[in-house]
Amino acid sequence: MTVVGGAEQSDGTQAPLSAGGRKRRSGSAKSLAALALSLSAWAAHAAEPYTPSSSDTVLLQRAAGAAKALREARGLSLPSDPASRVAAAQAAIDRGRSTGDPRYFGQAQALLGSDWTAPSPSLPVRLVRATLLQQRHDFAAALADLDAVLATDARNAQAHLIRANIRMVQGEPQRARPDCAALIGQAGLLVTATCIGTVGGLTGQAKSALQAIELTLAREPEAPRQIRIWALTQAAEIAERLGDLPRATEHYATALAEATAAGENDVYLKAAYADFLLDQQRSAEVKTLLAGEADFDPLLLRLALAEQQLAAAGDSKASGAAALHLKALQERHALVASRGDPPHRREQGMAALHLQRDAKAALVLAQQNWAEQREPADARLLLQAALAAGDHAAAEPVRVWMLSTKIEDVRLKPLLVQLDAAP
Amino acid sequence: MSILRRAALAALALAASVAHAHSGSTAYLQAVVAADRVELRADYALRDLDDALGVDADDNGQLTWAELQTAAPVLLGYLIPRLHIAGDAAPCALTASPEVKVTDHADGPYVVFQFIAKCASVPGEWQLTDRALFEFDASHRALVRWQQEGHSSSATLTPEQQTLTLRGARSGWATLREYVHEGLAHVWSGWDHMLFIAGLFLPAALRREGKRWQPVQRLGPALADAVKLVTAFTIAHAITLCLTALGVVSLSTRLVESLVALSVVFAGLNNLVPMAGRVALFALAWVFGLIHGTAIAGALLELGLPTSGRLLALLGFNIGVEAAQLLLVAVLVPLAFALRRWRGYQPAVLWPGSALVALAGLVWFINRAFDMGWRLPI
Repeated sequence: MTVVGGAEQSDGTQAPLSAGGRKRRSGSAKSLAALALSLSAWAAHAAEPYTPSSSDTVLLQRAAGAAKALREARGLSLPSDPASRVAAAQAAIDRGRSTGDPRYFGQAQALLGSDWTAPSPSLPVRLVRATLLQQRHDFAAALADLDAVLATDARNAQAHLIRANIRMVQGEPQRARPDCAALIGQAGLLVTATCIGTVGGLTGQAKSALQAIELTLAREPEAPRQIRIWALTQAAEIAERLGDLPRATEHYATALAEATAAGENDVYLKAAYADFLLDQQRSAEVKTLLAGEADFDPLLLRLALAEQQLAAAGDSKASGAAALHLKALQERHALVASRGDPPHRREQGMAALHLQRDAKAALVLAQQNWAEQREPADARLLLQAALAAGDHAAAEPVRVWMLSTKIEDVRLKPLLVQLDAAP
Repeated sequence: MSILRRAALAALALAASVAHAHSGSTAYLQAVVAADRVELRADYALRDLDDALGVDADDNGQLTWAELQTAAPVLLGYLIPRLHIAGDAAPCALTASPEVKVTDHADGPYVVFQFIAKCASVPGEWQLTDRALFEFDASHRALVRWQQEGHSSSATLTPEQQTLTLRGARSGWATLREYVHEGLAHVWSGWDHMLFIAGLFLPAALRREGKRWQPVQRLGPALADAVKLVTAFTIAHAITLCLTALGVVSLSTRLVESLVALSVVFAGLNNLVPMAGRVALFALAWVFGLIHGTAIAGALLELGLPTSGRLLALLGFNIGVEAAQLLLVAVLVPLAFALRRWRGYQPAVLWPGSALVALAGLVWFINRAFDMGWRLPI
């Protein structure tokens, strides 16, 4: 089981100091090495303490009663019985999903307590753990838990669904098909159809897959809202890859409307829709869509991209805003590195390529990202970076992947043609 | 950020909207060290404290400054048992300022706590522990900045590593003493260094006449010669040791270690088959000193040079090395002098001893130069 490393730092921006009861020698050598470290995360957050002027000053506005509900759900200490711990962890995950706030995933992990590192915990714990591991892109460890669950309970729909999703994120949609097929009869119709349709959409059957998802959506208006939003997002993305812009627009709009009605903040959906709009130079709409959403790193990136487009179109105010947002984004990336969190390489690569215009750095990030995740957006980033850096060989893995999956994507094909045409 | 402040900062509306990152829960600890005291500023996210302990007394979602002030004793009561500062493993007395303040980090408002840790003496090593909030959020991190004598270092505390160990500031005398000790220890534990010296001084009470060794008459000149030889060696290796440790020169470890082994072979062989006369021996001791210096620097770098008092540390280390060698000479040379007229000295001590030295050097040389990876007992 891989647990996110303690003080390990990525990118070499910071090295760990010694911790715990190490031997004196290695400890002091390490701490000395650390003296030369960059203090980027600190520099970004040096803030002077102050005393608010009035007792009535509102320091923070939150949803009323939310914190109390959280404390009551958790209790004063970890719930002793495993079932209520898993239930509390699952509730925290759900909250994390509907708000897009990563703190809830950390709270879910804390609720698992020592089960987080247990070699063979109970089946419900394994499922929650696999969900969290997948969320932080630790696919190998997540798959190990899912395989163990399915070895005991071959029909477990949740395990099949998470495993299918991991296979697709890893760029192996063919391998996701059996897991989607295993949902038949075990999960709702819309879940099953969307899983199978998503695989089809990535493996050369996009048109029929899209129709299947649309048909099921029409037939299942009473399906849970979160599932409808997921199905609509997948339909929108398939339509987008097919180049059917009106259909994609319609699905995105419906998905967003349903998310708003359900009070869900679907960061993935908003980022996907923002990219769709940016491709069509509809940057003003992106700014409207993402107003007040700069809290979320992926959305902050899209906001900066929209402002850059506006600046290029002659909006003088936008270029300053783009620069400010880029700076904020870099501070966030530095914080992620200081914390030792897994880096968001897709977003970093997009920022390097489109905002900083550093083709070489973007290509390195795109390649590292491709080693971890292989969704169409990752393929696109690698092709764009290879083209910008003039490194045709770097595009080869994507070409091979496109041939083997038979993916249909109107955004990828022209990039390959450009790469072939370039000297 | 307060609503009032936000209104006042309308012109910076953009920056304000950016300044609410949704990262994981992060605390910021800032420690400033002055001799035996540490001033610690600890910033915890107001939101995290509210989630964990409850700040919003009326649960209306508006966290006011009055509510925070009321909650402060509870928050401190939670934090104090979870924050530790220790000097040389002895806990330092931690006192908290009862007043809290507020600040803004990239992801919103933070509560600022001030602590002072007072230790019994100036420690050689510090430990900083923060166990707060990890129990609620496994992705919580505490970013630490440690400032000492104008230097800053930074580190991240995690659920797995909630304690940080740092070398303290110490007096120049303590640095000197420690490194003298390290220099002594290095010679006493470094077999190649010892064997080289032993090879050099096995015939210390003899002098060469033609092809034969003859006993010297007096101990004084023999000792003086030995001390001069050792000092030439030490001065030479002090030069390269300093240059390498300060990063002025850097040679491949494999090359240096192989040359050191060759010098040991030479020291042994020279006693059996005289190659260098008295003056040449001084020159060779000098050259070998230069080589040994770069090798010792490796050991010193592994130990870590303090940022303050680097020169004192280097000086101490060299003094330690020289003292260890002189001690060896002080034992070896009188012993050799006492035994010099014994018939068996040459066949039973000098020749087999020198052969052994040369053989050990040869084995080291092969192992190091050709990367054999032998696991040798010495």
